[in-house]
Amino acid sequence: MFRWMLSFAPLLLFMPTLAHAHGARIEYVANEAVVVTITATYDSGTPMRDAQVIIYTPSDPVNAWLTGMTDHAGVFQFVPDVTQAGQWEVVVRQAGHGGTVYVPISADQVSGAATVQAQGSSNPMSPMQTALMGASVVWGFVGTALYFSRRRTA
Amino acid sequence: MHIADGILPLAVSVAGYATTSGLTWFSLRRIKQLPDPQAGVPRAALVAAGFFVVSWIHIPIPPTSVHLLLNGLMGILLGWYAFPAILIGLFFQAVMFQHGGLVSLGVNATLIGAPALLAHLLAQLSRQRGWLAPQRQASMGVVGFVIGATALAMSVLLFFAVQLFSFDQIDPTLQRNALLVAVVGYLPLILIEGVLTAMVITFLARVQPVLLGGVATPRPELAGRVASVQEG
Repeated sequence: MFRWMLSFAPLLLFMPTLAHAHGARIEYVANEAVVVTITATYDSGTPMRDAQVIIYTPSDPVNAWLTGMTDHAGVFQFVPDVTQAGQWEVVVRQAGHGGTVYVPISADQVSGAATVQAQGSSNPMSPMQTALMGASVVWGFVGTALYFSRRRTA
Repeated sequence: MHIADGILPLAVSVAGYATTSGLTWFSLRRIKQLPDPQAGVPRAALVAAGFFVVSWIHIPIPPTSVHLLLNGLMGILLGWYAFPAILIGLFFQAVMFQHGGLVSLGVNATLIGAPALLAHLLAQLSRQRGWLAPQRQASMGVVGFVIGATALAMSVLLFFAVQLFSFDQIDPTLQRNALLVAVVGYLPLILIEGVLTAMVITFLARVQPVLLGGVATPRPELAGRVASVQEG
């Protein structure tokens, strides 16, 4: 079974994906043996240990294909069914925290692809980007306050 | 406290939008009935900026980390403006940082905004009873603590009630245990928010009592100076 899996090794697209998370960062790495490694951490960097993992295939986003739990390091590994190409949805949850990450698996890349590393994150922004975006929103709030207070004065 | 997209069933998200629509309509209606509806907008914008920023301050309480909400303080300071301010703050958090989500925006606004409106009603009641009078610092501190802690406690209760609907594909026992641990994690935050709310409103009572929605009563020593200036 594993050798059969290996024969389909280069199946993965490697494009970073965006996902939504609350106070959590979910990352994945898909390596040459088509083993997808999920790493779940909180915003603070603390691993989400013993968090529940739910995996949906591209063809059935309603019924879970696989469920499991992260280990003490917030890591969970699974071998996808490579015959099902598309965006695999991986949901990680722990007491209301968690997030979703989409792992692209493509059947077009069955033969010939040399690189099969794929990575993605639920929070791809750098701290500088986050700070700049936050500052711009705060400036918008302050501008609103100034606008309405000026109107009142006038 | 912000629930991300993909966590809740669609029906719960739709119900969240329904309650948020109702509360927004009611809040705007009450604001419109005020003598000058625009008077509170600058304050609401500034407090919304504070709400937006404060969610970045994470307090590590193992196994998770929590952040301040200050929805009780918003209720006291903003009154009926609190709900729209929270809704706008949550919208920007979801759009800019994926903190929460657009699908779960209605649920999150209800979880955080409804307790803010409760805080406003409690503050109104306290004003009527004279407990929030600027000259009564001790009672003001106690009322601030109670309102701040109550608002967050209500948010936590609503948060976990909503979570009960998200057990569809996961192990219910495991999820229940994780929720129980998280509840314990929120208890220190409830106390912290109560203390912060009490500190802020007692400070404002000294320097800017108008912000508390009550009548601006000058401090006794200032009142004496004002009287002597008027006599002179």
